[in-house]
Amino acid sequence: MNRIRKYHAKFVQSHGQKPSLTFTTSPLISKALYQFYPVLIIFDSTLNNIMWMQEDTCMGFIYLTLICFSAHMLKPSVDRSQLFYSWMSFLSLGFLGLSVIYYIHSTLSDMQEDEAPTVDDIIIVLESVLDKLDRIRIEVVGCGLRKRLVSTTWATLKLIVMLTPIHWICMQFFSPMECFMWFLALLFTYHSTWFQCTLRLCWRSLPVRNAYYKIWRMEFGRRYKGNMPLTYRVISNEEVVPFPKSLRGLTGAPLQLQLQNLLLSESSADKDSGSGDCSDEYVKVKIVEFCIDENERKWPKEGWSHHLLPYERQRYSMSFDPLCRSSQSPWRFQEDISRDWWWIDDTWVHSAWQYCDSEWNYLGGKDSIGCYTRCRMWKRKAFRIKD
Amino acid sequence: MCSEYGEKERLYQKKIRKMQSGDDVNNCVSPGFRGDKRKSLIGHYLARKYEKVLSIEGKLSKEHGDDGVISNREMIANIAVSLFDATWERLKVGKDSRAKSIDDDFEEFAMKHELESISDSFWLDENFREESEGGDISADDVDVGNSRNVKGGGSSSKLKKIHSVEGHDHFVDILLDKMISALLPDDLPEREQFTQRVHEPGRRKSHPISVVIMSRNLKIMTAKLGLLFEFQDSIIRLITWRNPSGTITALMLFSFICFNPMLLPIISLGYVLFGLMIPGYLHRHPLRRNFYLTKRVYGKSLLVTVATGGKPSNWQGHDNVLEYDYNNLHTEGEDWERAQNIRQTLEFIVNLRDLQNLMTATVLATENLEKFVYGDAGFKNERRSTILFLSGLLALVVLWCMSPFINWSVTASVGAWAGLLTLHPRVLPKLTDFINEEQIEKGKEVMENVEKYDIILDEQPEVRYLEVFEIYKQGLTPQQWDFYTISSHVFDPMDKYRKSQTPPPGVTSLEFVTAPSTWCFDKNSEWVVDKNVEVWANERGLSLAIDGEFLVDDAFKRKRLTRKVVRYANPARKPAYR
Repeated sequence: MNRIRKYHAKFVQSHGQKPSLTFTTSPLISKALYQFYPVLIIFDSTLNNIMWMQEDTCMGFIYLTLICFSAHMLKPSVDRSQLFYSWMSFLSLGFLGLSVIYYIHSTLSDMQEDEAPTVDDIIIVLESVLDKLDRIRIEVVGCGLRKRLVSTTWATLKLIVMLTPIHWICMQFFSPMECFMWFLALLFTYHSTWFQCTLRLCWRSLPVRNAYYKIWRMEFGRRYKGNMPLTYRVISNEEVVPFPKSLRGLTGAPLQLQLQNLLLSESSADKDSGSGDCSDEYVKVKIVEFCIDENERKWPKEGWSHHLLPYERQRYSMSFDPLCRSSQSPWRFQEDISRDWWWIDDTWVHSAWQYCDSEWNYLGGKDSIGCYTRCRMWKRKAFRIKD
Repeated sequence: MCSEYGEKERLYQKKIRKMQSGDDVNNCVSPGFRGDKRKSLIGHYLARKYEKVLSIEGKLSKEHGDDGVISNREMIANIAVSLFDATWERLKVGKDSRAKSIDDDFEEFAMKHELESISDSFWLDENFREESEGGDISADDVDVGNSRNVKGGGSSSKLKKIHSVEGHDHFVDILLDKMISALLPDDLPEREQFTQRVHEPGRRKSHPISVVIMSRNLKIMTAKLGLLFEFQDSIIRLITWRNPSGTITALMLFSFICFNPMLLPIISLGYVLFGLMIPGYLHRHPLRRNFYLTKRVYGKSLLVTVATGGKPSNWQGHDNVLEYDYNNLHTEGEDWERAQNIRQTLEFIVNLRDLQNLMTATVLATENLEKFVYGDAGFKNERRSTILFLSGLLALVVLWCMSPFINWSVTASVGAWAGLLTLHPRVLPKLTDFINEEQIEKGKEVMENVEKYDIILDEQPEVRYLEVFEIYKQGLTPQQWDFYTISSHVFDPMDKYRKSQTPPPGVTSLEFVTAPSTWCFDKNSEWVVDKNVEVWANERGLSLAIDGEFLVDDAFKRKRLTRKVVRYANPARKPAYR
């Protein structure tokens, strides 16, 4: 047997050998696909141009310039002093139109001369088109945390409110035609690799993220104000605990000690044995578990640290708050808690670290490359005597 | 007039005779310039080296008492024979016109071209017809007679050298050539193979490496680069304010050009007209303005006193570089000859030194450029590169928005004045004192903090999956399966290892399976058995029996395991030779 100590495994090939579709597809569908193929090819090429994936990058630039020039055609009034621009725009639009027609014509004639594509060929092109469309969708709508922010109507409304002053300022400096031209330029470069990479690099900057979340998290004082979530989880709402009369006079720490003992012994004893016939001998208590999350972020130089980003959850956060608002540390919390709560556990107990990605989605219990944040929960049980 | 030229002619003849007889003297003066001397030196060195080797070998053979060892004489005879062979090969290739390659053609062309350029009629002066015809006076002096028209006395040796190259190469050169070609692979990959230039038409096939050509090129370049270095020096003098009037003139011209860019071609044309052509004319037809040399210059210029940054001691016009001096013809022949030689040698050595320094600077610049391209611009340190990119982006946006509102002519000219004033040797130290170190330290701290927390590198890592097959072998009974190996090969009946009846490369335990280089296993993932046996079997075109999570054939069964691997980024770009 071959006994190599280390062995490099191979990657899973994403496009494995698939059974050919040619014989398994019905002729009707094959024919439909074949007729659809030229449209698909032209659409794919359009997408390539929008995403700047064409072989010749200079062509993309030329088309972009021509499109920007053509925008001048939309000018409503005829201005003789700008004759040159009008001529240029006419020429650009004409050239663009001709080149589109020429491309379509040459594609069709090439296809007629070439041998017919197989169903697999068509499916591959179809898959690539779908892939590109999906990519474009993600680039527009965003994904992860950012997607959630754009998709609600409230967010859209906010977007409009935010863009209006920018629009107003633009209108002060530029003519509508120039604005339209810049918009076209933005539209045709937005899906290029350069633009997307620039956006990604900008996203690495903390001020950019701060500004983004400041705008998108702006709630105009509407939601979640004055409605603090609970800091505990109720374990038992009405626990009946035997309470001897001898303990009535006790207060403070001795009472707590006695009650702790009672609770512990009660939980171990059989519950049916003392079904309360005399209400004086029993008290009703509410048992809860206070939970506080401790959060950390991984930094390249110092490793795990409490230095968190301003827009995300802070060092200690409330476990049962959907917004993860910050909380006091467990030890500060126990100082400030109201006096009628009595602790059952002697101390705060923490769970193991849970490792998450940058947006606090749980990944696993071990630190891996994709883990940028982690959190653990501090828990402590307490009870309150119900009247 | 005629008698004057006759006198000149006689002096030339005398000079030529001296040159021929005093060749050795010249060689001593300019060892670098004379190829023969260098060759003989290298030959001497090699001879000595071989002598050592031979003597050591002789000793060894004596020690071993081996009678069958080749004697020194035989060894030398062998070397001589091989050298002769090499020479013969070279000559044969050169003579055989049918076997002539493009390279040979080019070499021949280069030789011819050089000869032409040296004996080019371009350097003949139409006013001195006798000089060009003088070459025909005696057949012996033909080469040297032509060389009079070329600058300086070193050219005669150059000519001789080229003749020797054309005729037959020195043994040592051939030896070195052979050595180098032995070191290099037979088919040296063309640079074009790595670039798109491979399809570029009209590009000459690159020349094979040759010491002869390289040394000749170096020699010619070194002799002619004087002008370039002089220009470089004058730029340095301008920047360091050692020529304050020049600096201020340059600044003024620059400002004018800033306000009216059309002045750039106008000033260049003006320089050609008045800086080059008028002095040329003046040289030919002096205006005979009599100058009375004064013993001492009294008084100083205010500007120079205030603005000077140092002595302009080595200031000299560029026109005395390598220019033939007709006025010295009447001096004593031998002394003039010697002085000229010394000057040329010195000039050559200085040029060589400058060339070497230029090359060092080029190497340094290339290295820095490379560091930038592959380091900062290649996201080697992601944090730093991101900061660089973002600040560049900010600058770009600001410049784009502000550029219509800025008067660039004023900005450029004020910037140039301010920059050069800052560089003034009297101002610079005061400015550097003004910016104290504390501020620099503070700035560094801020930068570090920015690097620490303001750049967040939390991109999703790249995710891929690895697969291995756990293979079991049929035991004695149909129910018994023994573990065989873990491998990337399916090991089906059509597998090449299966056919050759050898176990596929693999390991005995999953612990020994590692991720490909630059990847690592996701610690939150484990090896997972692929339950969709039919799917992965179909993808590989295998139609075998399926038993649970196993794919079974007559002798082996295997299951497929996959595991997630991650990496943060591709490794940074690196030049191929690193």
